[in-house]
Amino acid sequence: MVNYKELADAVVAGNVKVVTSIVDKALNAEKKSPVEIIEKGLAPGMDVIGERYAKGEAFLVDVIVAANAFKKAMEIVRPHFKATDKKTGTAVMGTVEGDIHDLGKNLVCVALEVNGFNVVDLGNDVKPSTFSSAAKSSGANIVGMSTLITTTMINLKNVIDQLVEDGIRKEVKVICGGAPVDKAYVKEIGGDLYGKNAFEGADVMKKALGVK
Amino acid sequence: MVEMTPRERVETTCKFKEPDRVPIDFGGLISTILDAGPYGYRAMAKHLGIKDYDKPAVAYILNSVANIDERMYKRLHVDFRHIFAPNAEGPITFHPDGTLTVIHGIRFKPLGNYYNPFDFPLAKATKLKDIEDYKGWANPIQPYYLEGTEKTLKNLHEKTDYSVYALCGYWGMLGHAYSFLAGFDKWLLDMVINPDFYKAMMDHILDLNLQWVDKYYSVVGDDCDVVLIGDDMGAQDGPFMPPAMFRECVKPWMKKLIAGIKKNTKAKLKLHSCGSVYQLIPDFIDAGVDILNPIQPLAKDMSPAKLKKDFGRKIVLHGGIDEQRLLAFGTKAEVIKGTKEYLRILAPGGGYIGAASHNIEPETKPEVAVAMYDTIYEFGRYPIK
Repeated sequence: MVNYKELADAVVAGNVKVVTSIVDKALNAEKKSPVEIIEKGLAPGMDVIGERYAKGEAFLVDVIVAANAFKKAMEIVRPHFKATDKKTGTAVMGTVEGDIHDLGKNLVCVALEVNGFNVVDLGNDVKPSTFSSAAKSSGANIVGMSTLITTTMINLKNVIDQLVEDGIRKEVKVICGGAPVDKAYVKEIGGDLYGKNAFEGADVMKKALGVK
Repeated sequence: MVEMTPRERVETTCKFKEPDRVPIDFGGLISTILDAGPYGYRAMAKHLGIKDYDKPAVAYILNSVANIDERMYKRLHVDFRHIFAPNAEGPITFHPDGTLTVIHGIRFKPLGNYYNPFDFPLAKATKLKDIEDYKGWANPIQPYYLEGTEKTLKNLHEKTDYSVYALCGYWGMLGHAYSFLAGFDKWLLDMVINPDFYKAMMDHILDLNLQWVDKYYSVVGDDCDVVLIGDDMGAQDGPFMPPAMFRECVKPWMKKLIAGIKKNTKAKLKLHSCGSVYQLIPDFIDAGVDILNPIQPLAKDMSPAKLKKDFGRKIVLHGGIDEQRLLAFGTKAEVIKGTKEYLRILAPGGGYIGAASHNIEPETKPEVAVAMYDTIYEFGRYPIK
């Protein structure tokens, strides 16, 4: 029997060895579904870290260490997904053009996977047209973007303008984040959603799609 | 009050006493200006009517202008003069695709207004042997790293009354050197999942840095008033790690580096550490830090009032005038008003050096940045009104 509590605790501790061993056993010996493993073990572990981070009880290093264990687990889990497995939605994510800082964006991608999203990660220094065409081709519900530096904040708006120009702005919710960005700025540039940190961002996106 | 010399002004505020006015810092590596558009250094020079200035030379790590024109220093009332250690980033190799290889084989690529580390050469290193086998480590004690600086610093210190910075460049960085070589995530991850390797990397970087600072400050130590080291330890919403982990994984090396510098100089030790670092400040002080920059007021727990109340008599606060919103997007009138508010909180009692809370980003109009320096100069006269 799979001990999901132990799996969640190992994610919190960032113990890759224990996490991958439990996941491997669950998939191959116990024949558990990838969705169950995520929902009962991996996601609750990341939820604990997210809650602690929101309260100021966990630090960036704790999030990175837990996310590392989660990512290693997902490398094993991902090939077992079936096309019929239900997804929360599809999110196209990237750091805007002119900015290479992607640590926060990477953590949002992890938080989205935890919450059952299909994530299209475009990386960093992403052009507005790349955001737009990826949103189109993936049928995304969400376009998420971030920047760390004030100089490239304007490029958040450029992506939104591109989505308008390409006629898909109404098809997607746009979320922005990053150190200099706040709720008011997102509203000012015509975005929809803002997340203060990775976990809040994933939560906001879920709610925007009407998922509890 | 009698007008003080810039050096007296800085020394007085570093003793937590009120000088004639708040000292002003600009130039060097941080809380300075970039060579990038739309505004930046060249636009500032044009705005101030400074012509025929030397072609800007930049420190690639932050694209900061290393050779600020003396007329600009004077016009902005700057009390410091910054001297970069010669080739402290080098030797630099410029590649045809626009990327650079700098000290220790660190790779940078230009993006937006900055050069950014990428293609981390030690990203896959996990064992002591990987550190030993790595061919990129720079030799810290080549004469190359000292060329010419002794005379420049001596002249500046003996023939002017400015407060003189002798910058360490990469030789004053530990965590940054690690993360530029191996990746930021890996720097933090290694602390937890591969602590033996982590300690070996930190030991190795520290050992090289100590060789350099020993050599450098044994020559120039008497001719500098401030030494800058830098290692970011905070994000917008908290330090990267809890204080206990900082004490175990960073502080011991930082403390040894600072002791190595202070062995040969009476200069004040300034630490640049971005973001929300409130929780780490007692340990910074214990490690030997005298001046803390950049004081980002919008980061969590970094409100100037809180910092002034809790640490204002123990560590000199440097910076604090918000770059993330006020200077980046504020009007001239808003910047004047905002600067006055920051001064009212940070300046009383001394222990404060006026500067921007990070580099003046290139979207800040010159007239706005100048208004900040003029406001510190005019409104920063003691007693603060």
